[in-house]
Amino acid sequence: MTEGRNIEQFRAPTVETTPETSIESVLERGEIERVEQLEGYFPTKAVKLKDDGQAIFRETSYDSEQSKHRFLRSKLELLAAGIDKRLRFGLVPPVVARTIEGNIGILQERIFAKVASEITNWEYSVDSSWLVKAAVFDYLIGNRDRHSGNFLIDSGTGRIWLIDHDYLSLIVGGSEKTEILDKARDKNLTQLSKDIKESLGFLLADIDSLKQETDDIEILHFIEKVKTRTQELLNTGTLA
Amino acid sequence: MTLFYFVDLYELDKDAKQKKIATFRMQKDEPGKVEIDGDQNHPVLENIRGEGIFDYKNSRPGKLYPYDGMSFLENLKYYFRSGYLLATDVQKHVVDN
Repeated sequence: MTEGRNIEQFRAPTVETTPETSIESVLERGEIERVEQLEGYFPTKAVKLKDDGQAIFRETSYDSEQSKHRFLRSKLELLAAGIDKRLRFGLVPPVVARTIEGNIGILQERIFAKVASEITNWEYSVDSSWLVKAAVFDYLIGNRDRHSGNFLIDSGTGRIWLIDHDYLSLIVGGSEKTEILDKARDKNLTQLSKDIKESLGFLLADIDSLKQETDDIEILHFIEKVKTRTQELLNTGTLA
Repeated sequence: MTLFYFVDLYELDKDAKQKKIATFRMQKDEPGKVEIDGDQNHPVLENIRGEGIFDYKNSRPGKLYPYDGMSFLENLKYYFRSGYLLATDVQKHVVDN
């Protein structure tokens, strides 16, 4: 990849009917069979969708001292999913905005995989291609709180799912952990393949459309940073 | 009367029911000593004892471990916030001696 490659070399992604699309429509309109408030500090509900599996609902609260941050929590999870979709990586579980029992929030597909912190030496349970995708994704979003409590691993397939994209991880900074990126570098999985570069091109070609979905200054600034990092990765071709 | 502070940590099972995997408990009179009730071999607990957690509340560098007492307890809810693993806020419990 030469420096300054023109993004017009990449065709803008077309809207396709994918499994994710149908899951999102189920999340948006599917009949809810059961809702259970979970014990925990952040308002979270487990949702059973009739005939269609489970989802996790995270409320957006407007009336607490932390309302702004909680609001961004929802916005940023949707934004992370939007970035993932443009990359066509399939790392972030499908998520939509929805109102449940009068509460506004986001509803995200429940993934039946283990939280990485439940797996000793999780890096031996993941497929290299998923590790690289996840590392690229975290590099692009500048994730500052990717510890083993906020990604999931399907040990059977080696697939990684990324969760918990919020104010702490993307804007203000959290644990300063970049566990996935570090493991990819430890394994010397830093050179980007043609497929990964193509995905970066797809993102770059369409990233400005994400700005149309928000007028929040912090989020707009965040999207610009993602755009800059995407161009940088395309130019260097490496995560090293 | 003895005052305890505690935080419960839950995981979500396949049926979308929460299962408590640990209670982190600290006696007010022993502020530097958080005890962990639960399966000590549970990978999540081993991980947290070994790796520690970040001080999200104060954005201070470094890590917090059970021996950091209340600071450790106060930050568990930020570390475990996904729904798959979810921690409560710090709660109080009084035991009559």
